[in-house]
Amino acid sequence: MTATDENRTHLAAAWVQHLRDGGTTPWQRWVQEPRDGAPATGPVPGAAQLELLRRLNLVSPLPDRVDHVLSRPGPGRGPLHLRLPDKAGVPVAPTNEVLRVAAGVLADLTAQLPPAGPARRRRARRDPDLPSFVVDGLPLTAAETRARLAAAGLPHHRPRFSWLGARPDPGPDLVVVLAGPLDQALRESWSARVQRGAARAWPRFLAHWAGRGHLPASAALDRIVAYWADRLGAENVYLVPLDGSADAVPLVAELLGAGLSSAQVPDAEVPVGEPVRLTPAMVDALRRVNVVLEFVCPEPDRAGRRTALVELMRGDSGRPEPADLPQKRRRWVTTAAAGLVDRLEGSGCRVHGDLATLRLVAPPSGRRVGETEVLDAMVRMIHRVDAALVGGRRNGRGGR
Amino acid sequence: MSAARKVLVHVGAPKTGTSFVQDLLFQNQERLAEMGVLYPADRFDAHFLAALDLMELPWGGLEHQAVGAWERLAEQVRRWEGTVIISHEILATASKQHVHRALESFGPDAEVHVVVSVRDLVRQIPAEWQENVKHRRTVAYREFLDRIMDPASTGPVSSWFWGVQDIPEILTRWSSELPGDQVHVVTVPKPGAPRDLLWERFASVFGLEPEEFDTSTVQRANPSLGVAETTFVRQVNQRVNDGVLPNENYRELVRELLAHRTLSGREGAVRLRLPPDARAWATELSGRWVADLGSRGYHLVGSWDDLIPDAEDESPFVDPDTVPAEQLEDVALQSVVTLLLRTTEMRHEVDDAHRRLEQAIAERDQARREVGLVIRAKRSFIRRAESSASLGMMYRVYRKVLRRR
Repeated sequence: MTATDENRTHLAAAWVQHLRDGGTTPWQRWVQEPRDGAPATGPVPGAAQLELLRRLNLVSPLPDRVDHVLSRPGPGRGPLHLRLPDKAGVPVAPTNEVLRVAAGVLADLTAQLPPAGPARRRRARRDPDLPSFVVDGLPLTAAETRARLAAAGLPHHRPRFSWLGARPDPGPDLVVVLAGPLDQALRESWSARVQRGAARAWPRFLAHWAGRGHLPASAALDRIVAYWADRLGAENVYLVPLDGSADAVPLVAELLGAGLSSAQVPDAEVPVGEPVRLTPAMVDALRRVNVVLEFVCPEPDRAGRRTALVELMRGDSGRPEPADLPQKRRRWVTTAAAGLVDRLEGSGCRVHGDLATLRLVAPPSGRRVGETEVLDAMVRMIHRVDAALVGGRRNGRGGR
Repeated sequence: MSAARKVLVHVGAPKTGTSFVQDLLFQNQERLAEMGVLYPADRFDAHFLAALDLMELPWGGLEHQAVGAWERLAEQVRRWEGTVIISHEILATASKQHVHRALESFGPDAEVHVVVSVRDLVRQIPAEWQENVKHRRTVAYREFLDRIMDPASTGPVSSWFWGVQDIPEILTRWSSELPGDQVHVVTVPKPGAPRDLLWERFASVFGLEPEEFDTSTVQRANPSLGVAETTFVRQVNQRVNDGVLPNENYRELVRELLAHRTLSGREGAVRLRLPPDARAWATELSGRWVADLGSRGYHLVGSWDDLIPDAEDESPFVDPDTVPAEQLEDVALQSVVTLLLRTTEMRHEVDDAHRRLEQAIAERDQARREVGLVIRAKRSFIRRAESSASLGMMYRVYRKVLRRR
């Protein structure tokens, strides 16, 4: 080992100790400023692990998680051990590598969360003068609409079964299928699937369906309409095209004959276990965690623990603007939207609004969800899950 | 072989005869068990899933089957009072933390030996690019070479390549918790060596008598593709990626049927080699590796010279990135014929399945006719019991009596 190498090793050891103590100085600044080294007490952890620890410290130090972070190998494919860079001006570790380690840490913590499941709800009383109904379609919008309608005293139809189990549920009196521009439907479909454990990134999700030449089930509104029309008759299926700003609740209430304005409808949280609206960076963080969760969390509780993580992701302060459609998929989305509208026009269901809005695809916004944004989301979540675990232990809950 | 619990972990590298060894061990499981050696596998490459689980590696959807596989394997290892052999080449890419978890999982009383089989880089690099192509990658050969030759590259291509082919690093990771004499390096003999020499080397590490095993029955030689054949598969990838062909169908039709069973070992295929600049670089790097490894005190089976490519045994380099279309024509035609034959076979399989289904439906209908009266009577009673209080009461009493009996 040369004198320079030795000096560098001592500097690295001092930096590791600095980070272990909650420090936040970046490596590049650390090596530029004159300071004493420290005797090396073991191999220097990987650069990605160290950079993640530094970023966690920037929010607030997590002393109990330091060893975990520094010893967590990055799951999946990538360099096995990134060394601290020798050259000035290069990042200490590529962001995608820090993200890989962060996904591993967050998955490990998620595997310790108490599983969350659908809350047991008392069957709400329904006004017998109003028809029973189901709201289907855009998965996130439909879940929000159901929750707000329920809060306004218009509970969703829930199947009833006879005690002998021999009489099938007759189904609701009517079904409202909420529709939106296809790019919005695809975003909601992607988010809902990720919340159920899918792991594809947004561009790969689009590539997958474009390659298959058809739409995912929750975005294929023609198939949703056909399913309900087959069960209830097309005359009992209402298709409600929404443009970006429309509130679905008064529209559905109007169809039910209940007459509610937006102002009369209280805000209501989507119940646990149903898909919720997350920022695009959070969805991307979650899909990365999903890959690892499979390995670190056994099957019976995996879905429940993922739901617990999603609950903690709600209301995140990150940028909510939707991710843009990649340029090379715009043509496919436009063509698929036109085909979808044609099929809906021939479906025979009742249309409450202007079907032409479904042909529109939002113009390019240039909004990209970068790796740094996702990493920031992941760091916030590691803190939030850690706090939940610590709080849970204080209250005698949580842990594997 | 000592009577103590001994675990031999063969961790690659890929393209060093690993499939051959795994198939041979798998075919001789019973004989090995009689000798006190366990190869715990229900198929020749069974440890693949365990390796995916250990390293948390997604693999085109196969990882869903892998969850918990390492612990299941480790449990078999812990229960066996003798020698156990574990073998999979992707274990080469395990990090130090994965290695620690693996070694710990075998139990405190296990004497663990690590076996790393190695081959010279000049043959490994083209073989690895072909593996990339057979795993749906579309990266051109020159681009692949540039990425792996760039020491600053941290992308997926170079990080995977060096993860499984950087022999000094693999040995460092796998040997850090073991004494040097429990780390065995098996070198793949140079071209032209006797066919069974590699097996003899492996057998000596496994503590087996090589001549007691019939190597002629092993099918898994995994022959490499030629230049035009690899280019053809790469062009197929460009058209079937992005969701067009699902992974499970790609594995069956492109990798297995076309690449392995149709295009590998084709007569007249031109062997893929390194261009002169990459060859010089690989030769120089191999020299440095040998100097480093020779001083580490590992148990060497073979010769370090096997890692240094011979200067004079190379035919000219043919660039797979510029193969003329007419050279792909024959490859494409042969592939079309193979796919047509397979389609015909599948059609027969579907027809046969339909016939069996129709037969099963006919048998079911016959059975229904025979017991239909009783069932219909029961169903009618249950339907009426739902609307009639007295019949409902009778039905509940009947169920209660049934449960007590």
